[in-house]
Amino acid sequence: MATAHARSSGRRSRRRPDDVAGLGRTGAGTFLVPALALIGLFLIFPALWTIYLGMTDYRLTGLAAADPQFIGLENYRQVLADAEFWRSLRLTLIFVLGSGVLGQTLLGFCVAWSLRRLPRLAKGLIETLVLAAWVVPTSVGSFLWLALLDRHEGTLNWLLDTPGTAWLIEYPMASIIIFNIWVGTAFSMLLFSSALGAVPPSQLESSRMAGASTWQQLRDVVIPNIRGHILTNTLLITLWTFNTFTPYLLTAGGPNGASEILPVYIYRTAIPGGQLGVGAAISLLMLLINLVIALVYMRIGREKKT
Amino acid sequence: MATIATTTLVKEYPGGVRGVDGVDVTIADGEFFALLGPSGCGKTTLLRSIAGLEAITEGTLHIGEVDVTQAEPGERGVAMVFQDYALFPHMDVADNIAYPLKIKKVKKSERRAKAVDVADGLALDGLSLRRPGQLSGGQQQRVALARAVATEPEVLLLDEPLSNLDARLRLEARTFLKELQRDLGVTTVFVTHDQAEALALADRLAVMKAGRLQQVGTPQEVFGRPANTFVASFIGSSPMNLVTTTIADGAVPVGQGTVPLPEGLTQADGREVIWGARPEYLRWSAEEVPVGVPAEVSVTENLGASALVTAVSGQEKLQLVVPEEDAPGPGDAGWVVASARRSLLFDPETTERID
Amino acid sequence: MTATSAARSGGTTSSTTAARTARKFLTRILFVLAMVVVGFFFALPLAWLVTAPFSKVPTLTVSWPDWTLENFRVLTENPYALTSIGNSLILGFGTIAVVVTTGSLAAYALSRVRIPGRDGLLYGLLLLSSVVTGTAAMVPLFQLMVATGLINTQTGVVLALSGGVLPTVIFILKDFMDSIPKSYEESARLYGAKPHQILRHVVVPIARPGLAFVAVWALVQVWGNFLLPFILLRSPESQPAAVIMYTFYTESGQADLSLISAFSLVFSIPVILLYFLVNRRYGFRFHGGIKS
Repeated sequence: MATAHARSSGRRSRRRPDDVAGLGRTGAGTFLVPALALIGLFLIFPALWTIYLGMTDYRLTGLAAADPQFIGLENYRQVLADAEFWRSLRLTLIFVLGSGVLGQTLLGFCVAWSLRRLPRLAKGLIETLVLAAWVVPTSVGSFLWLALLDRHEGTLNWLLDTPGTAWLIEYPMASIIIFNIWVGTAFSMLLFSSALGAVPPSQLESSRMAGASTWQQLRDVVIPNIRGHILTNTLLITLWTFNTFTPYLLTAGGPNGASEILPVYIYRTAIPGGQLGVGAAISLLMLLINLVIALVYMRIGREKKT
Repeated sequence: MATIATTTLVKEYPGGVRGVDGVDVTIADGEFFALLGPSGCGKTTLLRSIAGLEAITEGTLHIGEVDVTQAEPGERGVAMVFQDYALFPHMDVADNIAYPLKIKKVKKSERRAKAVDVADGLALDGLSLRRPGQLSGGQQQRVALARAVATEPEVLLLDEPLSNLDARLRLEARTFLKELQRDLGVTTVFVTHDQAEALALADRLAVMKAGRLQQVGTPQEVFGRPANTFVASFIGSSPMNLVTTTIADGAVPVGQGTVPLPEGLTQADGREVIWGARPEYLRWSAEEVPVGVPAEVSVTENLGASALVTAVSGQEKLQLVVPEEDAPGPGDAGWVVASARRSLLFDPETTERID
Repeated sequence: MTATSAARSGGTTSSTTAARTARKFLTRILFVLAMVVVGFFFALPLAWLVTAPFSKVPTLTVSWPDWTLENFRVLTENPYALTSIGNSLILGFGTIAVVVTTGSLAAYALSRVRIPGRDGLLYGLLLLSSVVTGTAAMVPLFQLMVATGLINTQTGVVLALSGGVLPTVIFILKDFMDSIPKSYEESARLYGAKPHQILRHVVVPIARPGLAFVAVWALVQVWGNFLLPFILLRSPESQPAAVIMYTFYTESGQADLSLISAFSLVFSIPVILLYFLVNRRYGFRFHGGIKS
């Protein structure tokens, strides 16, 4: 009789939460609300609003500022026909590949890997230097590089005995790529340090006993073990690099747009150029490119699991 | 103190996998009860369902007279010691033990005093200010036990309580656990995959496989009269000899010889059965015997006071435990002798024991 | 087995041993050299930050300092320099407070409760945050702040910054919380602890390294963030150091290197200090590692 009672549907409808915290869906929802509200208001709303702005002729000043008109996809047509946009996109890809994927990830991994074999003091020193570059506020960091690369008084010219070389004008892309590597390597280093720490030593030892070289150990033991970390790291670095505005503080996109990556291009179109609508349209295009990148990474991540 | 009773208890995971599949069991007040089975058999899920950590999909669970099927874990009067002990690393020993009392809003001074009291009772004197990380495995386990019993629970649940200890400590802890349980008289359910542990500790045990109970009984019953071939081969330090054969001339042919029918059983000639006998209950004879299985020894493994002998007769391999001084060497020929009182028959179709 | 080991020992003549030692030595030298280059690369730009503030007449070239504190006296005389550091602290700690509380609640719920579409949600937000925090959201955010009356207030900037960093915070915290054994919470739950008690007594103390990491990470983001306060705070009295720093080297015509060098150092020190303090204490491990 008791069994029959317990099995009745009334009992089953008030099922207890089935998670470790005893939260249940409602509890979880309550926990999520404050964060989601903030994100919704200050992240999602602006993003959606950008979609709307991208279809107007909204301008910073003048008539269209007071009364923006809906113009459909006109902005997109204009942007996609603009050679400057395509150049900017190309520069951005070079920037992301050079400074993010190759530079930060690779250098970060190499430093993390090397640190394990360094004496304590040297390890601490290098770690501190790399972290300091990351932690220093970007406006300070960029001024440090302005000072280093300065044409007349810069330390680099003094060191290399190349007086008068204007690095930021002659090699603008290389400059911002190296600058960005300097700024961001710490994140990859930290992440890979912890990932490498989690590689089971027994696996490394058995591969060493089988006579594997350092390179073979990396390929057969380390990389497979930290694949997830590599993916996450590369994804985050790619997105961050894609959207960073900091190079503006070094070259302001110049000379003549030679280092005008997309965020700088948007800024120059929207604020000094005053075309807020067009700026929003480019922002949206950028968001779509980011989405594609993220989806590709998630695809690779999923393949790994199966 | 309380009884625990389940009726057709089912735990189904999303996707339809059943961790526990219709378990009916009643555990008596004050009993020391073991849930035994291979990994993935659902024993831990059943324990966690009793604790309330898994929501029960179907069936009921009573603790004492109360239906707690849908009760929150904190309302059931159960305490549990986890396999990894789950001692909070950021609290010292006394705070760990006193944590349940903190939830029950006992005053700080009072609960510290109680914690120290319980700790002393479990041979943890002088450790109350240590962090769990500074304790040995055995001490950690006793702290976890102390935390569990400090609440004076009606039911104590232990998940693989001895598996994180090294072999020497394990024996010590086993004795300690049994004493503690007897002193407290608290209804205790523990999960283990180690049959020796279950036999040694439990008043009664339940053997599980694939979410279902295979047999519930005292250690003697489960060891001596396993309900089916699964239990027969799972219990015992060396598994029961199981031979599929066909009854002939009122006896059981095994290998190149015969063994007697188990006591009290009559079986028609021509019936197919599985004959089973524990290695401990078989005898080795160097001289010819009237009813026995002629065999040749292939391996002898020394177990200390005794030896485990593997003998081959025809297609069959039989294992028997003999006193160390009488152990035959490899290649020796002789007879394996079974006792009618100590052997069993199982049905090959259902794998159930034939009575 | 014996054959291979014999072959191997047979091959090890004294000349190959010497060659091997030489190669090992060379590799070591190259390795040390590479490390020196890496160290130098990261140290070189930082050298100016350490030397220039203490030079009598700072130039852009790194030179041995005179160890004068004159430049810092110049700094204290500037009406905006020190208040801007104070403003940065308000923005930084305000954001940390908002982000750590709301973020840990959300991360915990996401870590422990099966919510349909959880991973997609996380990745989507992460993606959005890395895009929208930049230039893209400038205009809408400005309009939003004007509409809600939060323009020109620290609160407005704190909220906007929080919205931007929260997805990453949740992502990292969830990872930390995933690595906390569930038996801790189950154990607390068995003794009748409610979800908020479990969070306070068990999860938060155990996740403290993660919370510290996230707090410092958020502070670094906010401390250096230039664009948002630049757009949303119009009066110099309420602007943070990042904005003031920029005005120092753009608006004064000839850049005042005394002011800039001293300010750079003062502006950098709190965040560096805090960072290394936390690093020493908790040693930035990504606990279970970020899973993708």
